[in-house]
Amino acid sequence: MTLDTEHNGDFWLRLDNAAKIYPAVKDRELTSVFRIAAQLKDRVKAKELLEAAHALERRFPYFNVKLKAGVFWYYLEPAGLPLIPRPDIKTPCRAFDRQELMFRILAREKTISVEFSHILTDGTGAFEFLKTLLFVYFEKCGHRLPPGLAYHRPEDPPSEEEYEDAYKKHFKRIDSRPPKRSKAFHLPFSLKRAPRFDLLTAVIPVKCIIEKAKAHSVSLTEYLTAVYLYSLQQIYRQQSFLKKRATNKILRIEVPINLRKLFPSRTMRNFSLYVIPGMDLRLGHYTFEEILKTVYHQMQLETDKKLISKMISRNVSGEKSPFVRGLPLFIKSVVLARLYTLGTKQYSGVVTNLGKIDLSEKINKLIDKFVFIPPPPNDILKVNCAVAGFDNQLVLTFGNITKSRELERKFLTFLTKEGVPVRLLQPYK
Amino acid sequence: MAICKNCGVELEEVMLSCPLCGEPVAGSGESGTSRQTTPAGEPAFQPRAEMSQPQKKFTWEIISIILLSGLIATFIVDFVINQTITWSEYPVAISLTIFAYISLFAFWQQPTLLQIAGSLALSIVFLLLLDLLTNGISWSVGLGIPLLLAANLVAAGLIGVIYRSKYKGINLLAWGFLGAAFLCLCIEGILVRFMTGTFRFGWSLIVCGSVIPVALVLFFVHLRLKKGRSLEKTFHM
Repeated sequence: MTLDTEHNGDFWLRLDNAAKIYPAVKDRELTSVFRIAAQLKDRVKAKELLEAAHALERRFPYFNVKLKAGVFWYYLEPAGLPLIPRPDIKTPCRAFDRQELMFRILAREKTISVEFSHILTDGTGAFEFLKTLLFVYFEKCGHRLPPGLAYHRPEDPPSEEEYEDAYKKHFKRIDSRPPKRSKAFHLPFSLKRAPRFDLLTAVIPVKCIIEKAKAHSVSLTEYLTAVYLYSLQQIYRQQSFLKKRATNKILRIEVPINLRKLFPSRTMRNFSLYVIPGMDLRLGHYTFEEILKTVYHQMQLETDKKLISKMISRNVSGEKSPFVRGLPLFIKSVVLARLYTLGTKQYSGVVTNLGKIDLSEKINKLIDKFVFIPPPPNDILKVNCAVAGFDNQLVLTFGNITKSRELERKFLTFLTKEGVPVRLLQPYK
Repeated sequence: MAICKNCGVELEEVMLSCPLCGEPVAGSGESGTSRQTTPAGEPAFQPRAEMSQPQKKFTWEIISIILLSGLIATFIVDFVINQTITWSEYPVAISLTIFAYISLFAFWQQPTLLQIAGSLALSIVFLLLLDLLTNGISWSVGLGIPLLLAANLVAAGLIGVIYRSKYKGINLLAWGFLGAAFLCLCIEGILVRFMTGTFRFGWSLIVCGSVIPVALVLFFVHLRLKKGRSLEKTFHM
């Protein structure tokens, strides 16, 4: 069965389980908007990009929607707006106006970017959209696409599976209470004045850092998470005696997991959950190797399909509870905003890895690098990090709302000391 | 190949301005003021169907003449019968109010809500002057101006609702009923207060009690009928 928004005026979508929290917390600063940018080898051609965007207008109707407030829940309604690329001259990841779509295509010099609200999709969904846009764009530029490429062809009708709530699809009721987590350590830096979202982008050779990770028999994400925790430990230790006594002593990093790898789904909406490896500083100082070992084992354990099913069950059960369903939206929003704050207090940072991007040998040659920019962190978390690997370049982007760059400095200095060359990119201005 | 100096993207030879930001290509002869081009596929601005200025002026003249002649006739009849100005104050006040509104709507090119506010201010001035020139300030402050204010509030509210309604249908009728009910409450409250010095509601409450259920039914029918949409999306749990 296909989606027909033109003839079916009654088409609307419920927010997926992960998206439900974002309308309650988003504002001008905490936008819940992230970006994936493709830096091409050649300058972007305006006409071809316009044509490519136009070709995609009907392919992703579940993105061409507006957020509406119902009596009990928010929902998504078709917006029917044209898809027009815009110049990339403003702050990255800025909030969407009520009148515009909740995603945008941006272009500047050699870079084509897409920005999505988390209400619509996660990194994987946004990347699939960008991939399609790039393929169509290259085709319009006269490049022949190699046969067998997997992407959402503009001429294909969108299938129902693409806009399903995969959390609900894979929901199995498991009776379990969520674990009680103590509050985690948070960076002690003061916030910048609004608009406060600032970025630092670093490029490191993939081969070099993979070698380091392999030497410890861990994955790249596990290695980066360990570096993040090690840097946080250094910041904790640098504090005065009194501050150290007063602050929380648990370090935890939230690492999003793409659930499509565990549960079969072709959904283009949110379908990710988190694992939260961490360590307890009350037990003493950790060497990097000890942190790495802890992170590795916790990640291996927490990504177990049964444990993830338990998390899905907990989240979806909450949404299905008759009491929760019957609460009017304004009360739900207050509760969800509070839950979001409480959730953020349980971890100290975020490392989100888009993974290794490969668009076929022929297409890869047309692209220089991919940059993944995380959504602005809230005033508890303060800093987060997003990673994208392409060709031999691993691009790390730190989103920061504080006046300090200490975490980034510690993180990148650690890498250089390990022999990994780090190159900083011109900041987005 | 031309390059947009704003976005840095490559433009076709035939392009006079960048389709992303509207920046004119150097030497294309486009002025900086005409930067905002309509991108492909974006609907062009559709001006509202309005009266032209000569049409507005003609309408204003006709209405003014009718009002003026009515006003003079009323005054004369009242004066001839009673040897002074008595009941004719009220039709004159109404005529002056209508004159204030049509004059500002005809010649003051401003957003509607501002026009309403301006007309209200001008009417208030007219009413005060009329009251002052007849038997001194008596009915204008306690009766005329509050009634005028209530009517304006209801009108502004209804205009706002009409403007913001994405689907205009039976819902506007329902809003009209609610506006009328509210106006009845205001009228009775102001009249009773003017005459007895206290607030008491009687007949207007009966009007509200009758109108509100009707309005609710109309809203319900509107939601049911509009473009075949169900209520499920609004009320889904």
